[in-house]
Amino acid sequence: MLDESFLKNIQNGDLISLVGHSPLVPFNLFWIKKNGKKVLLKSTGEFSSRSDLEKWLNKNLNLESESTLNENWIQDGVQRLNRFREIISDNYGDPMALQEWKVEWINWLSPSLWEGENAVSRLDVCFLMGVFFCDLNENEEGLFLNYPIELQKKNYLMASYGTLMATLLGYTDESYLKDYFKVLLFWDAPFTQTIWSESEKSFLKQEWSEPGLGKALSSETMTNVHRLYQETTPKIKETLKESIQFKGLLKYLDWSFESLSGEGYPFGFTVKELSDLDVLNIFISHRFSYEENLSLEAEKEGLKKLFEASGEFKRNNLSSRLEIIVKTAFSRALELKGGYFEIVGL
Amino acid sequence: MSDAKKILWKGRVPDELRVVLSDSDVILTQNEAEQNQCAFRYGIGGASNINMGPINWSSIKSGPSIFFHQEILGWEIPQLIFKRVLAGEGALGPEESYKGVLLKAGSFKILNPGSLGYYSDLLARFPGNLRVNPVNIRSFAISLFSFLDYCSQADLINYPVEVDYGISQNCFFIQIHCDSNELHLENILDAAGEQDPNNPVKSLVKEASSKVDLMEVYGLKSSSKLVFTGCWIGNPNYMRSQSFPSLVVYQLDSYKSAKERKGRIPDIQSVNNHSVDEFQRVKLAESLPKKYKKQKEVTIEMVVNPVLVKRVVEFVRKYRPDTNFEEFELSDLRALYPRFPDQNAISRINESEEDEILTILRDANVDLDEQVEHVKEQIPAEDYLSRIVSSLEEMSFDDAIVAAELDDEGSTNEVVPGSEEEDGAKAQKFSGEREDLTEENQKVSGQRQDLTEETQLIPGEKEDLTEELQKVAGEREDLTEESQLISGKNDEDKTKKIIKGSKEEQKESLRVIKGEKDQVDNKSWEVKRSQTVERIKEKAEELRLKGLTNKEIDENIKLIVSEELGLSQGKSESFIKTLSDDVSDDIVNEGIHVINENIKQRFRLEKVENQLGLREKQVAKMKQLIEGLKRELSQSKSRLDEFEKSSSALSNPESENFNQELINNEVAAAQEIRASLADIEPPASHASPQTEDERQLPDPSLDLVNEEGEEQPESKQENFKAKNIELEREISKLKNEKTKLESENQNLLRKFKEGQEEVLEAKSEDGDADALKKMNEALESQVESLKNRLTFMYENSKNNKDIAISANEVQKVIEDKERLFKEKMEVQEELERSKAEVRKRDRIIKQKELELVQKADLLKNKPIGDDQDLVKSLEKEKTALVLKLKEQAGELKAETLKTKSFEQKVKFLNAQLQKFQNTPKARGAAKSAVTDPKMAAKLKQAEVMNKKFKEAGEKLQKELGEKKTELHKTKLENKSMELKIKDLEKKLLNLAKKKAA
Repeated sequence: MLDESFLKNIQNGDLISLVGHSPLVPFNLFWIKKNGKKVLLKSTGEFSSRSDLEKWLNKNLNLESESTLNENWIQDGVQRLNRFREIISDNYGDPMALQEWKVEWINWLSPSLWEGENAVSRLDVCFLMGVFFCDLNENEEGLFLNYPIELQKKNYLMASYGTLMATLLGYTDESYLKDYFKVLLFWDAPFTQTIWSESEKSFLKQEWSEPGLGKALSSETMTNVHRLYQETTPKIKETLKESIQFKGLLKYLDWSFESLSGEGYPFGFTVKELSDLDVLNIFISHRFSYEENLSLEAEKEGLKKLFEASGEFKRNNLSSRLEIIVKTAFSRALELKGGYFEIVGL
Repeated sequence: MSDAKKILWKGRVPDELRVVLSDSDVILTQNEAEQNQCAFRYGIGGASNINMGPINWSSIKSGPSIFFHQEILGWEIPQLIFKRVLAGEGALGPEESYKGVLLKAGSFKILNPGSLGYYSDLLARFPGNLRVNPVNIRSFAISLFSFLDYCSQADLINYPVEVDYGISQNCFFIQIHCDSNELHLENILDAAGEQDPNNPVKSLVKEASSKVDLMEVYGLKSSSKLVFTGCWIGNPNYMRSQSFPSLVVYQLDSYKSAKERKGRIPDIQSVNNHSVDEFQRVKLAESLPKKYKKQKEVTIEMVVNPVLVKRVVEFVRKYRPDTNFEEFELSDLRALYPRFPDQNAISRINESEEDEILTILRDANVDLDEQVEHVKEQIPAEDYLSRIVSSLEEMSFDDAIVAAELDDEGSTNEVVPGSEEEDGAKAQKFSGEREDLTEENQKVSGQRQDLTEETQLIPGEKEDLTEELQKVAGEREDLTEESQLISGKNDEDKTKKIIKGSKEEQKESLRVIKGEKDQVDNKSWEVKRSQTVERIKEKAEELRLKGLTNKEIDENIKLIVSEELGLSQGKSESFIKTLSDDVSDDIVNEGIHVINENIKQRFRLEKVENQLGLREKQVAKMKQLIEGLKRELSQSKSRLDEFEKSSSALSNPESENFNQELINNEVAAAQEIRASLADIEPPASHASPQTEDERQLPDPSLDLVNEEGEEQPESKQENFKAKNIELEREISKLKNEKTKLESENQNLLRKFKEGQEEVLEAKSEDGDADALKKMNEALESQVESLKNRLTFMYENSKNNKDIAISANEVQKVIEDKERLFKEKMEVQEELERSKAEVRKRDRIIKQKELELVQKADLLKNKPIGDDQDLVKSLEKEKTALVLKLKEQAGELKAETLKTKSFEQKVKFLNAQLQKFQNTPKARGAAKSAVTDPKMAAKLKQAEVMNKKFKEAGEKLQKELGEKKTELHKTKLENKSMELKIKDLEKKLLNLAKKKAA
């Protein structure tokens, strides 16, 4: 899996080739050649194998747009996460040290997630979180690669942002976050099947962003949904069960059509009966749509926009929930450091 | 949330409850007929689930239950909780549930059980000024966290456990929730018992409920959550001593109702493949059943011996025919082991077999016969036969009795040893009988139906068969009585006497009395046994040749046994079955034992291999670390070498960067400054002599502090390592510079010493000046007398108008002189003071430099990881020194100004002196003094003194000038130091920029 040596290659200006783990294939990457030239991929989804990429490189085609990684930010993030790993590797971890780390993590992270000069792009977030938390074995990787390329992209975005936000919500356990990342990568398993007609597909895509329309589905479609869940999700659960420690997370694989308003499928949850991570899952699954594209411009979207984009969050007072959760860490900071840490925009 | 909309309340409704329910949809009814429509009921006897009394956990069976003190309803958080329970209003998030009353809230997630104490302390601290006992909070939290951890080990709940907490004006609450996996009400109740030192789980929930003012326990079915809420009243008006803890339990399925629900699973759940097929009542215990332990605890799965399992199952079922095996536990099973007839077999039973036995006992549909038969058929016939024979050969009489079910433990009759007194009554022991032995029942062992037959089993000796044997097992007196049994041969022609009872009727029942366990029994049995064995052996070859199955072999042996031992068909079948089971058990066990041992060995091997693997990983990791450190060390060394080369190149005339002029200027300036600032005390007077290293001090300005004075990042990663390497580089560079400066310093010291001598001379002159002072005083007195004389002379010679000098004028002159002298002395003192100050500051600077050298030494020797604090302290030192230098520069400036002012004063005074000396009066005074020889002498003396004063003054002035130059030199040195500091700062900035880039 990607590790710090990958980042060192960036710094040293060596030519980087794909390390063979495809989760990054759908996304824009860049290589720095030794002579200082940058070689950039055209857009996501066009290349799905290493050989394709190498062929493209040899052709040296012009690019439509560019995207770059914020190496310093990523490296800084990796170092902080390594520190996190050190703290919790000591048996169950020193809670005081973990608390301090959480405060510093939030303090470091927040400016880069809000709009502004210091904000980072989605690519940076995906890269950082993937480097640290993406941990697929061979079987799982094979399973993931069978997903349509659009789904791979969307799920990778979901997994990256979901895991990132989970750290803000206080789910600071490396194994847990790794498991969570993995589960989110396999979201929307029923859509790996190809039996859907085009109209059904488009309807289902719409369902993602506006859940609750499931009730308007024909009985035939509903039957198909039933069947697909039964056919696809259990297999994925069985595959993931072997490597996942927190098996309770597997329930999220059934939540593709859930919403926070009570009109979702199949459980019809409302936010009143859900934990923070439950809410985050549903929210994040709606935030990134099926045709999500990792913007080739340096998109400076931040958490704030993520929250504002979701009416559900606002309606259900989730912004105040987030405030309570994050400020719990800050109240500790007051005790520890006698100072007040401000989150921009919170 | 709760669906309750109607509450049946018989009796007076407390006002507090009315208030709580006032703005909700809940209907309070008194109509008992609506009982079934009401989830909550009060005042209707056994059907009530609302109690206004203390918590009684044992009365909670199923469905919701409330125990409360009405005073609890007077506070805001409990009011909202009751509203949630009774009216279904509220949410999981407390900011939603307690909207409007929540003042402050917090939340955290627990992802493992490693820091429960920390979290409970966190909660205990939160209420602040509210009067809530932190001990209770801590106990509540620890109890519940521990309970949930046990549940997670049993896979009843999943981590994370999410904790929300907050305060309102009068209350503090904690809400704990987590995902639940088929946790039932009984699991909660299992932990609501009395304290048990052997089972700490048993009382955890009860303990928690006793530490709060109100506890709420409920489940959310849709999202599969389990929620606990604890609430404390922190207002002093709440009279806790007159109240009791309240409890609300609702929306938790009991095991039974969940089982009933099994057949009515909604579609949603089936679509999502919830495993609803298996509902298991999971019991929580300190020593969890193996299957509920986490996968981390590796358990060995042993091979099961089905024959033994079957034997034990049959035994248990027979021994405990009326037991409900659903509740049958391992402890119950093990309690029966001492009663199992084959103690050898039971001693080798393993845990897998015990599990299997329990499973089969609980499920009556499972039949092992087929399996056992199959296993038996796997045994080679030859082995089987030979083992049957050898087993029979070893079988004792008692075992035979048991095997033939002639000694039924289920019987109410006791086996009477056959002694006379014991046989007094008609009741005798009859093996295998259930009938009442008070009657004259004579039964042949195991053969009721054979009472009319002639042949019976009689233990006896073979040789006795030729005689008429009358033996009664265990009862000598019976020999004279009717009932005797004679062991007989198979051959009916031989002496086989049927001795019936008193009537000697062949058709009467015979009585076999198992008498004393004496030689008679055993001998008889041995004879018969050996006969049977012989026959079987004879038959064995035939059976083997026929290629019969083991079952068929059993049938054949059964016939032989039946004939030889005189057993009925049923009993002989039982006998053979027991024998066969025993033999099969042994054979199977021998095979399994090897396998199980292999399994154990393999398990041990795997364990050791895992440990080895871990060790290897650790070693590899350590090796990597060491290699990493080595690499870094070599890198830092190479960089040091590079730096040294470059620094030596700087001073090498042939180098490109060589700047001779700069070096010369710096050296010259350093020389002057050193000379002027050299301490009176030689450098050797410092606290400790300078070592070679100490002399090579790095400049404190090398400390890595950026412009804003921010601290370095706390990471111990490469940033810090690189900086450390840079620091060392700078240190070594300045080391070289320092060496040069020190050598120059020594030269300057030499010069200084020479100058010092001059100063000492000046001091000695100062000493002379003191003497001169004294002389001056003496002269003053003389001048006084002279003055008087002059006055007298003036008075007396009024005609000497030319002289016209008044004594006052002379006095004035003298006074002026004195004043000037005093002022000069003052100036001198001031100069000395300023000198001392400068020397003091210089000493401090040198001290700091020494400390820096020491620290630099430590830096060299310390491992990389420990340098963080050192760098910080060095940085701080540097800033402090820089500030001090600035201060000193300022002070020097002030001193310089002072010196200048003194200079001017001295000039002024000298000018005045000069002026005075040039005035006619003074000249006149000088002239007039000539006329009187004595006066003249005195005046001359005064002049000489004056001259001396003048010379002294000039000398002082000279010294002043020298001091001025010293000051000037000090200033120059300071400037050069400042320049150096600036250079180093620039270099640091460049380094930082490079790094950032």
